[in-house]
Amino acid sequence: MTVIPDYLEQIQRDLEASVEELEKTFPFAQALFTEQDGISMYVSGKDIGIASQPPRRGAVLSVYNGGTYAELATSDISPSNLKILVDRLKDRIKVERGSFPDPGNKWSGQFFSHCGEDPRSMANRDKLDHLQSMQERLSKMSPRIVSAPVRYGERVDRRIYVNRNKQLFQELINTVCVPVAIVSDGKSSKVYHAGNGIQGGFEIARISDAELAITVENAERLLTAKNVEPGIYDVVGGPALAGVIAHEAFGHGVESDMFLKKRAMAARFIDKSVASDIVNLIDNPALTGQSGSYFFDDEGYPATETRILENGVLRRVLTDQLSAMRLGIPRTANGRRESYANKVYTRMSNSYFGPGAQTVEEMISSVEYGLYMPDGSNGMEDPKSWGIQVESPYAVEIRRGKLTNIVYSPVVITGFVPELLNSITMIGKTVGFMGLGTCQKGHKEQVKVAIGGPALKMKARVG
Amino acid sequence: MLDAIRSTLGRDKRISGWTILEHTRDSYQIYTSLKRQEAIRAVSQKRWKITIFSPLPGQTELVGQTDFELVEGEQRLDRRLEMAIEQARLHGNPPFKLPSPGAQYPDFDDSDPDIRDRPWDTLGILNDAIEESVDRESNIELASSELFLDELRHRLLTSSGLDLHLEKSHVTWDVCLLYNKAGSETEFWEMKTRPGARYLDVKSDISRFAGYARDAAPAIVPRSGNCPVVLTGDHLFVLLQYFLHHSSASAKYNNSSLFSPGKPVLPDTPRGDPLTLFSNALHPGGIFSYRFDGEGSPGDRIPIIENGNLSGFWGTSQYSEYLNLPTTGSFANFEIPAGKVSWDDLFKSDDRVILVLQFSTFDPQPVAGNYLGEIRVGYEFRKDGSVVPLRGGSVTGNVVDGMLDCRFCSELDTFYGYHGPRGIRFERAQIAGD
Repeated sequence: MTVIPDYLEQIQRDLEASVEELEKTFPFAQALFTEQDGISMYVSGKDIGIASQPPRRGAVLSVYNGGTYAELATSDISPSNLKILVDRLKDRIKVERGSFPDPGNKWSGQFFSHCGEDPRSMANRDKLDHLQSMQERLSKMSPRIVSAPVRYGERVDRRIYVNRNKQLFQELINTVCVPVAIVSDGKSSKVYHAGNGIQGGFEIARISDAELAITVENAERLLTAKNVEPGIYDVVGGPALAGVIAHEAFGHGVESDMFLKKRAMAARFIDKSVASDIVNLIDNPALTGQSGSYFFDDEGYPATETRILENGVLRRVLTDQLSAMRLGIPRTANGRRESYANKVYTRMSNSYFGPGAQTVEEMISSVEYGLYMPDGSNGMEDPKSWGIQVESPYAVEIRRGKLTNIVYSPVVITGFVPELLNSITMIGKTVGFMGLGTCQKGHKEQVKVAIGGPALKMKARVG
Repeated sequence: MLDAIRSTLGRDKRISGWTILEHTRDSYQIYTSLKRQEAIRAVSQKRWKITIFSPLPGQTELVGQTDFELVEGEQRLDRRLEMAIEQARLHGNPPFKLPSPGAQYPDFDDSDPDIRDRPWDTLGILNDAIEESVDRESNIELASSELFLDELRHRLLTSSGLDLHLEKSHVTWDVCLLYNKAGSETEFWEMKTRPGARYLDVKSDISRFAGYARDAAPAIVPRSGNCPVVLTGDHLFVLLQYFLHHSSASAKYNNSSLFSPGKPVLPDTPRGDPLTLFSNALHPGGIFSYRFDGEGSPGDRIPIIENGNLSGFWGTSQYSEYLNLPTTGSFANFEIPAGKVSWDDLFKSDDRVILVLQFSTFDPQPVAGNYLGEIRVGYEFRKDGSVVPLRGGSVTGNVVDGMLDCRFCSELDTFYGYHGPRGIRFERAQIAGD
C-alpha cells in the first residue's frame, strides 16, 4: 500500500485544524499522531502464541509558550475531544516572552518504507508454518536442547506530523525474527539466540540451517564456559559489539538534551580528539532497511546523516528542536518520541562506526594473547563520566594469533570511553548492523534503533 | 465502547470464551532541568485488551487463542474481530478454564487519593519539595527531574461471568543530581517507580542521592579479584528473575525449567542461608500487587520456595491446568523473609566487602542466571573499618552460585517488586577493576 488511507487523511486534517487554532494564541504549535498494527508469533514445541501488536493509537497537541512545552496527549482523537484539548491549552497556558522553535521550510509528503517480502501480502498461515518448521529443525539439532522457541514480530508504524509549514505522513514496517536455543546439562541451562531486526519484510525470517546450527553450537559452548580472569586484554570485537560501543558508550553522550542538563562530558570536547584517528562514528536515520530508519523525526525534521566523529574528532552532536534552539546549534533529525503518549527527547537512530581497511582474520592474527567477542548484547550509557558497560554473551580466547577452544562467559567491558576509543588500532572493512533491540532514555522511553559497525581491534578492561 | 465489544464477542458463535481488560490511564507529568521547567504534559489513554478463544473447525480438542487491543474511537470493530478469529484459528492449544465467579477477592485498594483526586496539586507539592531539598544541599544542583503521577483503572470482564474493578496509582521519578566543587563535577542518577506518592520520600532520597553524587568525586575503581558482594535496592528484583523463570508453570510446560516440586532449587547444598520465596500480590508497597490478575485469579501470597526446595510452580490458568496444578495467578512481588545477620554485619570480612548500590545497568539472564554490571555507585568496606567509594569496574557472577553461599540481612525493605532483606550478600563474586 502506498497511499495514505482515508481515515488517516481525515486525522491529518483534524490535526491541521487544531494546530491552526492553537497558533491563534501560541507562536508555535505542532501535533503528532501515531498508530501501529501487525502481529507477533511465538512458537515453541508445545506452545504457540499469536497476538496483534498493540495499536498505540493517539495524538499529542504541543505548544511552546516561550519557556516550556505544554502537551496534551490522548487516545481519543475525535474532533470533539481535540477541540476540548485545544481549548484547555488556550485556557491554561500563558504565552511568555522568549525564543520560539522554527517550524522549518514548507514540506509535505507521504513516505513508505520498502519491504522485500511484504508481510501484509502473505497469509499468516504461511508465516506460522515457516516458523514452526524452523522451530522443529532447531529443536532437533542437539540432544541437549531442552527448548527452542522462535519469536517473530512485524509492526507497521504510522505517524503524521503537522505544524504550520509541514504536513507529513510516514509508514514504516519493521520485522524481527529470533530463534532461541536453550540447552541444559541437567544442572544448568544456557541460552543463545540468532536472528535480527530490520525495516523490511518476512525475509528476516529466512534463517538458514547453518545459522541455526551456529546458534546451537554457541549455546552448547556456554555450558563449559569459564569465568574470564579480570584484566586488560587485546580485544577483537565483532560488528554487534562495535555497535553496542557506538550506541551506549558514545552515542548517548552526544545527545544534546543531556548538554542542556549539564550531564554530558562531550560538551567539553567539541572539535577535539576523543578517539584514534581511524575512528568515524555516524548516526543516520536515512539508511534504507535498518531498524532505526525513518523519513522524518517526530518534530518533522527530514532524516539526514550526522557524522559525529570524523577521524577521531568530535564534530557534530545529535539534537532535537528544544536543545538545538537553546544551545544555538544545528538541528539533526533526532527528535523522537516512543509514541504520542511520550515526550520528545534527543535519540539516536542507526548509529555505527564507519569502515576501515582490515579483515577480522587479520585482526585476530595480530593478537598475541587476547579475546575475540563476536557478539554484543547490552550496555549502558554514562554521558557525564563517560564510563562504559558493554556486555557480550561470550568471548573466545586468542593465543598466538589463533582462536582456541576456550570460551569465557559472561563477559563485560568497562572503562573510560576516550581510553577505549583511542585504543582502537584496526577497523574492519565490512559494516554489519544489529536491529533487534530498542533503546531507552535511562530506563524508559523505548524507540527502535539499529547499531553496528565493522569489527574493531582495541584494548579493554574485561571482567 | 465496552458494551459494543462485549456484545460483539457474545453474539459470535465462533468464539467459545473471551476476556476484556479495560485499561484507563491518566498521567500528569512535569519535567524540570536546572530549575527551569522544560515541559508539562497530561496523557489520557483508554484501551481494551481482548483475548478470544475459538475452537478449531473439526478439531474439538484444540482451541485457538489470540490477543488484540482496541483504543477509543475504533470504527472497525467487526473487521478487527474477523482478523482476530482468523489469527486465533491459525493454531490450537489444549483448552483450559478461565476463573469463574465465586472466588474470594482480597480487599485491596492501592489507589493514592492524592493522585486520584488532586494530581496537579500533588505534582506541584512533590516538585517543590524536590527543589527545596536540593537547595539545602551544598554544591548540589538539580540537573533534571521528571515526575510522573499515573492513575490507573482496570476493569476485567470475562465470558465466565467475572466483572472486577481495580484502581492503582504509580509515581515514576527520574532524577539526576550534579555535584560541582572546585571544578570536579559528578552526578547521581536514579529512576524509581512506586505505587503512590506516599511511598516516595523525596527529602530523604535527595539527601541520600546528594551524598552519592559527592562520593562519586573521590571514588576509585576496585581492585580485581574475588570477594563478598552485597546487593540492595531495585536490583534485588531483577536478581531473582532466575527463580521466577524456573518456578513458572509456563517454563515447566515448555521444558525450560530446571525445578521440580519438593526438590532443591540449587544444584548443591547451600553453605549459607537457604532461600525461601513467596509471590506476594497483597504487599501494600509492591509495584506488582493486585486484587486480581489479567485473567481474574484473586491476588494472594503464594509460597514458591521454602528452605531451598520448590513448594510449587506459580501459574496462570492455562499452564497450571496443563500440568494439573492449582492456579496461583500471575507472579506478583518477590517476598523473602528476614535473615539472621544485621545489615551492618553484612559488611564484616577478613579482607573487603563490596556494596553495590547501583549498577550502570543490571539485567541478569533469567534462564542461565548469569549477571554482570559496571559499578555506578558502590562502596568498599575494608577490614580496618574504612569505607571507600567506588565507581567503575564490574561485578560478574551467576545467581545460582551466589545463592549457594549467601546471607540475608535481618532488616526488611521494599524495593519496586521486592519485599525482603534490605541486602543480600553473596560470599563470592568476581570483580574486574584495577
